[in-house]
Amino acid sequence: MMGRTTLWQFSRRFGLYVLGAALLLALPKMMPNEYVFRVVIAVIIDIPLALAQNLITGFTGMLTLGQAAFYGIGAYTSALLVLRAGLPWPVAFLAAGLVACLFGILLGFPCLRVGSDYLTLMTIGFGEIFHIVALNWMDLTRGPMGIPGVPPPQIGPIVFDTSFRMYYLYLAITLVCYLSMHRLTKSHVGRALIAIREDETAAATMGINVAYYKVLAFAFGTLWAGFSGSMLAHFLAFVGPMTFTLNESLFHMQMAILGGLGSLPGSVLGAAILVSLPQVFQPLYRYRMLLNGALMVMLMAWRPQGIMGTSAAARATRLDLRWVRDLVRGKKAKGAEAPQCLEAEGLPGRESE
Amino acid sequence: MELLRAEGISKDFGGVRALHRVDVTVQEGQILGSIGPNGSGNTTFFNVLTGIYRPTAGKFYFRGTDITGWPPHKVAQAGVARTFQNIRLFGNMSALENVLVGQHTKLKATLVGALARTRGQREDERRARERAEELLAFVGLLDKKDEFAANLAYGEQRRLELARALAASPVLLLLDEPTAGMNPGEAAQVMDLIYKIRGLGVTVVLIEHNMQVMMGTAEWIVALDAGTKIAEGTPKEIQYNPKVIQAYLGEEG
Amino acid sequence: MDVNYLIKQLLNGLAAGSIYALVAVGYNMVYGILELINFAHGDIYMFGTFIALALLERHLPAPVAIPLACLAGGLTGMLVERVAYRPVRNAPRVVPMLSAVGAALVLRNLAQLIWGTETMPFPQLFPTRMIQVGEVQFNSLQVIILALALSLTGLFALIVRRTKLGKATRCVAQDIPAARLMGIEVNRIIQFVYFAGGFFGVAGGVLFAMYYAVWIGMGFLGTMKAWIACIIGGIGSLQGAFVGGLILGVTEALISGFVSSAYRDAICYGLVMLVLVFRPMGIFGRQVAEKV
Repeated sequence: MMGRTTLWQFSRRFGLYVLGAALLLALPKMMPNEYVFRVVIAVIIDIPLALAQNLITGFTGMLTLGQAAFYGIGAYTSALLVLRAGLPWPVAFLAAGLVACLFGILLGFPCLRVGSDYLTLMTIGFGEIFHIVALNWMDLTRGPMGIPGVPPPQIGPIVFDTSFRMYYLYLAITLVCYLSMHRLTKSHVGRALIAIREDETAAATMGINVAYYKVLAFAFGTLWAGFSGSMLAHFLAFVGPMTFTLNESLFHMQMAILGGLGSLPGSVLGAAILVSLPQVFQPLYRYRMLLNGALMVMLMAWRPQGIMGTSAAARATRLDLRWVRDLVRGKKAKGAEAPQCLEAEGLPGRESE
Repeated sequence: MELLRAEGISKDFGGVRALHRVDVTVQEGQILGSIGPNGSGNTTFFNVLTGIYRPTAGKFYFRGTDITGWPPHKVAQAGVARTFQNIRLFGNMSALENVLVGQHTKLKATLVGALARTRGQREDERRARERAEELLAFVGLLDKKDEFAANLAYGEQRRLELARALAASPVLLLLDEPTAGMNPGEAAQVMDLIYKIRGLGVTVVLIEHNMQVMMGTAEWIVALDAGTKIAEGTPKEIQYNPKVIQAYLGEEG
Repeated sequence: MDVNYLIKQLLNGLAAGSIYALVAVGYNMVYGILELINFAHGDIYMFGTFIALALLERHLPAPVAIPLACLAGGLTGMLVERVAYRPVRNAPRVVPMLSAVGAALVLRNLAQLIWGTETMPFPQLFPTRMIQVGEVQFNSLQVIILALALSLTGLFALIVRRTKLGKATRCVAQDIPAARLMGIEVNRIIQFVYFAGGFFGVAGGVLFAMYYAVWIGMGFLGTMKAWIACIIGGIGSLQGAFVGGLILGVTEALISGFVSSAYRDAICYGLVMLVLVFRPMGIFGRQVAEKV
């Protein structure tokens, strides 16, 4: 929100940014070993995925569970263009995003015609179609064997073959992603998307072309999923179909939810937590999906707005963790109760709801 | 000067005929009232006009242009704004943001502009916010501008809907029961606002069940019953029209 | 074209379709009432089917084991409703849906931890014979499956239509607050619905297991099939779910037999997407206009 910020507020915020930037730049030096470094890079790759999911589901209200397909399309496109067409990485990277975006738009149009639940089914269906095609189109994707030997990113003479270099490259990409998402959601576009989420009909009567904005959300979200896919391919040096399943889409969803739908910093946090946590609690790795599932159930019942969503979930940019304080003090979180019209307690002969 | 002309508008829902060959003409600068018992088709008329439903038959001419069957956003862009019978605010947005959304058609904003945050874009946003605050002040909600719309009191929500509809600088404003559920004091405030709005050059069409408000505000009234227009005239004429009385009170008359 | 081959495919399709139909009917009850995509439906009956297998392996006679497993399925369904759905019943759509996803994940992984990821065969509970009609051969299991599916669906439809319980259920399906005001104990009804969904689901799951096999992924597969069947037949319609299941089974078999068996599911999904675009209400469904 633009406002008359005082010099103190400005310099405080500026100082925070400088500190944050310094931290990010210096992070590689603080890595204890290569393994941790690679986890950090994995987090960076997943951040645009969480942001994309947030844009489509959190801001626009379309529950898509097919993002893994666009992640995969990006990964395969980038890998194939570099390995088989011999194109330079920057071109492959851009193509990855654009091809994914194209498919996203193609999927977006039929999704306009159906209601919210069916939309989810369509995105799942699309995800499954991609998965099946990737598994069976041997000529293109080598099916279950996948595509090995994907080279690291290369811009001109610079090869990003160390974690150190890759970190900075991917960090830059992710920062561009975050910045573009931030600007988009703070502008009239963001307002239009939220309006669509809140009440499509009313939004239309305000002059918002609902179809255009829904497809736009899809396009932007899948664009970044595609870019993430490229980052993944060149990070793992391998692309295989088993990475891009419904479980993966669910994972993206969970990252966005945990952090808080409608909150961009929340998505970053959600990605960081969900990607790094399994690595931290290695012995619990077997139970990872079980705990994931239980977490989702609990989260929905207890705090559906996630960590950083506000209880009337608008765009939270400040760290609003007062609920943690309330929790510690034993107060119930606001906004988690279902609305009741009448409370009738102790009436005889009736099961109280 | 004729602003809106509805010719032979009919709307069927499956077997139910909600509107049947309704003809209405709205003059520029008028405050036109539409009355009728519940289910008479008033809100359906608004819905068909604003493109939420397609009419089964008939045409709408707005400023001479045939806007029949136009999608809602195009009708809005043409200069028609509305409020809803059961308030449809964007609950999880602040009052200010609701009004900002209302200005959507007025913004010169583009996608590229939004992403690049050009100077033009920032200026546009700044002016839009100023205007939004003016509108909130106009309806008396400036102090609540950062409240979530869902958390406002009922009367405040109705006024916010009004501000949001005005945000588009509409030529024609459709108000669907703006004083529903209000006490006489609040209703009088709304009546006042409607006059002020007309004073700004906006043509108003008003659906109301509160007869005092209707008779006190409208200059010309159209009466619907079971989807057909049964009478039309000045408030005085309508009050004593036998068909209208019959529709509201039953066969005794 | 080889007519025998066509008929064989059709019969395969009908057999598979009957199973889908049964699962879809069980699913439709839940969806029809709460208008919620019950992500966990398949995993509930998957769990029950594994229990059936475990009971049979402990040499419990089938007439005891199967109903017990169905009971377990019903109880699991009730548990899921109580823990994952009821707390969030009034929340915006996204929330119960995601809770369902979570519940499904929990069930699936619990099953994985208990029984592992292998595909296991299920004992044939009915002696199967090959039947020859003219030039066509099919096996009696397919007939039994179809017959069972028909009769169980019929039984279920009877309960819903003729009994007081059924009537109450339909009231809840229409309008929960109103039903509550009429004195209907909404929570009990909903629990009954989830019980029935789980119960009949396991019945379908056992048939599925006899025809194919048992593995932890069969649940989600079933959820998707049920979903698709309900869409084809029309959400909220019992006969639609049944017919939709049959149509899906036959379509799958025909695609598999004449087009491509590897891409079968992809093609089916594509077709469903087309159905969603052109006739979202399905065969028996009605289009409900939103009141503005």
